[in-house]
Amino acid sequence: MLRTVGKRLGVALLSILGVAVLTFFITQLLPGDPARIAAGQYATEDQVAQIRERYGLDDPVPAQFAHYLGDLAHLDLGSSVRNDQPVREEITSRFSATLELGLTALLIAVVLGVGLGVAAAIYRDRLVDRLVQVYVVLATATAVFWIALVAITTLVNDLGVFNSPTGRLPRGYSPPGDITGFYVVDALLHGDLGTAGAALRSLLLPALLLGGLASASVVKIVRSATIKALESDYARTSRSFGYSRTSILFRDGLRNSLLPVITNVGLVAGFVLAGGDVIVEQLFAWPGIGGYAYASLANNDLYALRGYVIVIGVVYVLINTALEFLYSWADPRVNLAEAR
Amino acid sequence: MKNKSRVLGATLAAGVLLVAAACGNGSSGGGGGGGPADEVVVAYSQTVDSLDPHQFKSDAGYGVVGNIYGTLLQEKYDASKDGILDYSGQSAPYLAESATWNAAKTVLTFVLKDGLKFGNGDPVTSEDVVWSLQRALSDVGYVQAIGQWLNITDAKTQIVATDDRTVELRVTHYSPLIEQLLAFQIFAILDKSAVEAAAGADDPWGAKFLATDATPTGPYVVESQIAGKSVTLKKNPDFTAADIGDAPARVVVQSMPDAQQAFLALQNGAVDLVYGITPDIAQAVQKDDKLHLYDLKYSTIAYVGFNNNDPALKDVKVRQALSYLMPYDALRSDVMNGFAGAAYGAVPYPMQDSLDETGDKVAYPTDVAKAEQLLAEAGHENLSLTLSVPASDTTLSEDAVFIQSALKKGGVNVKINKMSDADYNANLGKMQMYLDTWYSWGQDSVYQMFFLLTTGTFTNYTNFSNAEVDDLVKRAMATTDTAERHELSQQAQQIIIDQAPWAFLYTQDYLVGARKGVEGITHSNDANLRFEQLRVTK
Repeated sequence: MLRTVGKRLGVALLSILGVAVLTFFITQLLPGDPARIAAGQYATEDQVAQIRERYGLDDPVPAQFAHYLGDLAHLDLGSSVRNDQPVREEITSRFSATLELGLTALLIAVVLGVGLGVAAAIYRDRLVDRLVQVYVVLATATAVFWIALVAITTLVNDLGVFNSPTGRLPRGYSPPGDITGFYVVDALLHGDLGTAGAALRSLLLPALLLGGLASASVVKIVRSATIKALESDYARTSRSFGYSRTSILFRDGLRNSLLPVITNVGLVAGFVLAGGDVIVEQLFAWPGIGGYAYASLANNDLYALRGYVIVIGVVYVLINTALEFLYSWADPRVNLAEAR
Repeated sequence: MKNKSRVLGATLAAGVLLVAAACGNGSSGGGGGGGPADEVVVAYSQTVDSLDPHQFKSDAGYGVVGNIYGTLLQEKYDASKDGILDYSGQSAPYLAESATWNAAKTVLTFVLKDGLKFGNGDPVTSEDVVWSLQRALSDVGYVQAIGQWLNITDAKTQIVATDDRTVELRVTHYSPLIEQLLAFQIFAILDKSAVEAAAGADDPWGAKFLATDATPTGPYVVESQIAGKSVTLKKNPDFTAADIGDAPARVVVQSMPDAQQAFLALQNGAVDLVYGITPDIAQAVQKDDKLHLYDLKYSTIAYVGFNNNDPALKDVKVRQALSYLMPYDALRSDVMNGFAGAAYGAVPYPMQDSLDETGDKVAYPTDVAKAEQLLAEAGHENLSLTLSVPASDTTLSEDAVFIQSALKKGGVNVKINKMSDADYNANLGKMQMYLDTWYSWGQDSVYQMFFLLTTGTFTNYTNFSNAEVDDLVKRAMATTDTAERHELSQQAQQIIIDQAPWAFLYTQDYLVGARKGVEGITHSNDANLRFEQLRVTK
C-alpha cells in the first residue's frame, strides 16, 4: 500500500513540475512589458530598465528558467512586479477566502447535483425530470455575470435576503480571529453568532451561484448513472426480493453511480477554484486569489501570475490524487496497487 | 440509532447556521440602512496596491496615501457649494506653519508647525522633511520626473534644514507650479528614521517597507487591511496640523472591481460613495432619488494620438483630415452621455492658460467634405489605419467603434486593435494610432505640453517634434513672469492645434456617485478626495 501511495505521489509531483514548466513558457509568450506597467507613465526608460534588471526580466530565457526552477524548489514564487511584495505571501493571505468560497460552492454543487440527478432518474420522463433538464440547460448556458446581476438586484437589493457584494463581511463587521481562515467557522468557534451569520449571508450568494452553475454537469452524470444502475440486473433482483424502493435507490442506485460522480467532482472542483471563481470573485469583490490573478493578468505581472497558476495546479493535482484513492474505497474492483 | 444521531447532528448544525444567519442581519448593507454617520465607505474599482507616495499606483492607492500623509502645503478650497469643495487656485500651509519666498524668489523657507508627530508618536523634524523631499526626487520612483518642476537640480545641496523646524528650498528660479506641486501627496513627509530602520543595502530608500507600511503625518492612519478587499482608516490621534474634529471617524476604502455591483452596493447602502464611475452608471445614479451624482469638470483629455513617424500620418494634411472626420458630438453625447466637454487643443478648458475660456470650442469640427479634400491633396484617398485601444477601458473601446464608423465616411478604413494594458503600455510610442486619456495634476498648460508634445520626452507617445513648440515651452518653463508664461503657452497651443498631432476628442468629467447625505467632495487639483472634508448624515 505504501508503495502505491508513494507511486501516486510521485506522479502528482511530476504533474506539478509539468504545470510549473508549462506556466513559465506560456507566461513568457504573453505580450506586454510588466516593468513599464509597474513604473508608471512618468517613468523614464532608465527607471523601466532598472525594474527589468531588478526582477531579472532582461536575462536570457534559459537563465530566467533556471532561476525560476531554483526559486520554486525553495517554495519561493518571486515578488510581484506591481508592489514588490512576495507572491507566496500575497497568495497565502488571499487563499483562505478562495478556499472558503470554493469548498462551499463545491458542496452546493455536489448536494444539488446528486439531489436533482437522483430525482430526475426516479421520475424519469415525468415533469420533475423535465424541470431538472431545463435547470441543466439554464445552468450550462447562463453567463455568470448576468445571473449575478439579476440575483443581487432581487435577492440583495429588493428582498434583502443576502448581503451586498462587498466581500466576506458587510460594513460594520470585523474579521473573526484567525483559526481556520474560514470566517463562518472561525466566528462560530469564537462563539460570535452575529459575525458568523453575517459571513454566511455574504458567502451564500456567490457560493450558490458558483455551485449552482457547476452542478449542471453533476446532475447529468448522476441522472444517467442512476438510471443505468436502477435498470441493472442486481437492482431487478433486489426488487424481486422485495427490498423497498428507498433501499434499492441508496444501496444499488446511488452507490453504483458514485464512481463517475467522483470523477466529475474533480472537474467541478477545478471549475469552482480556478474557472468560475475568477469571475465570481470579481463580481462579488471577494478578496481571494481569483481577483489577484485577474489583476496580475491585466498587468502582465509574471511572477504573480505564475504563482497563481502553480498554486491552482497543485490544488488540482492534489484533489485528483485524493480522488484516485477515493475510487478504490468506493469501488473495490478498482485496485490501485495493480494499476500501472 | 447511528443514522438517527447523524440526522440529529446535521439538523443541529443547520439550526446553528440558520440562527447565525438571522443574527447576521444586523448592520448589513442588505437591509439598506446605511452606516453610522461617522463612518464612510468609499468604493474604488481597484485594490490599494501600494502605500508608497513615490510609486505609481492605483486610484485607490492614491486615495489612501493622500489621506495618511501630510504635506508642507495643502490645496485651499472654497466654501462648500452643493456638496462640492472647489479648489481655490491657491495653496495654504499645512504641516508648515509658514512658507515664505525671499525677495529674489529663489529661496522658499518653510517653518514646521510646533508639536507635529508621526503616527508612532515621534516628532516630525526638518531632517525628515529634507529626507522625504530628497527621496521623492531620487530614482526610487516616478516622482523624479515631476520633481524637476520644483527647479531643483541637486536635491542634496538645494534642500537644506537650517534648524529643527526650518527647511529651505533653494530653487534655480521661481515658478508658480512649485507651491502647487508641494501640496501633492507625492511630496509627503515621511519618517526618516523609521524607514531607514527597515531599509537595506539593496533597498536604501525602504521601498519594500513603504509599499505596505506607513509613517503617517496626515489626518488618518491605517487601522486595518484585508488583502485584496479593503483598507480601513481611522482618525490620526496625533494629528495637530488642522482641525479635523468634524471629519468622519473611520473611512473604509473598499475595492469593488465590477461597476454594476458597485452601483447596486451604493443603492442598498453597503457603500456611501463610488469614486470614478462610468457614464452609464452615472446616468443610473441620476435616476435614483436616493443617490446623488457629483459631476466634476476636469481637463482630462481623451484623444487619438497619431504616430508622427508613420509614413502616412507624418503628413499634417492627413492628421488634419482625420481630425475633421472625428464624431465629436456623438462621442460626447452617446459614449460619455453628456458628461464631457469640448477639447480645444492639447490644453483644454478648464486648464490654466487654455485658449478656450468657456469649454465650447472645437479645433476641427466634423466636416467630411473638408477631410476628403485634405486627403486628396495629400494623395491618401484610400487610407487603412490601425487604432489601438486598451481593452480594459470600456469608454475608450466604445469611442473606437464610433471613430471607426465615422472615418469610414471619409474613405478611411480603421482596424481596431484591442490590447491588454500591459501590451498597450509597452507599445506606447510605436502604435500607428491610439486612443488614450491624460490628466496632469495641477492642470498646468506648460507642464502638459512639455510631457506630451515636446521633442524626445519619454511620454511624447506620438513622436511629435516641432522646434517652435519646444522653444516656446522651454521659455515658458524658464520665465518667472506669469503674463509672459501665459503668452508663450498660448502660442505653443495654437501651433499644436494647427499641427494636429492628436485628434482632440473631448474632456472627461470625473464622476462620483454618492448616497444622499454625503457631502464634502473635493474638486481637487489632483482629482483625489480629502476624506477629512467628507460630511455624512444618516
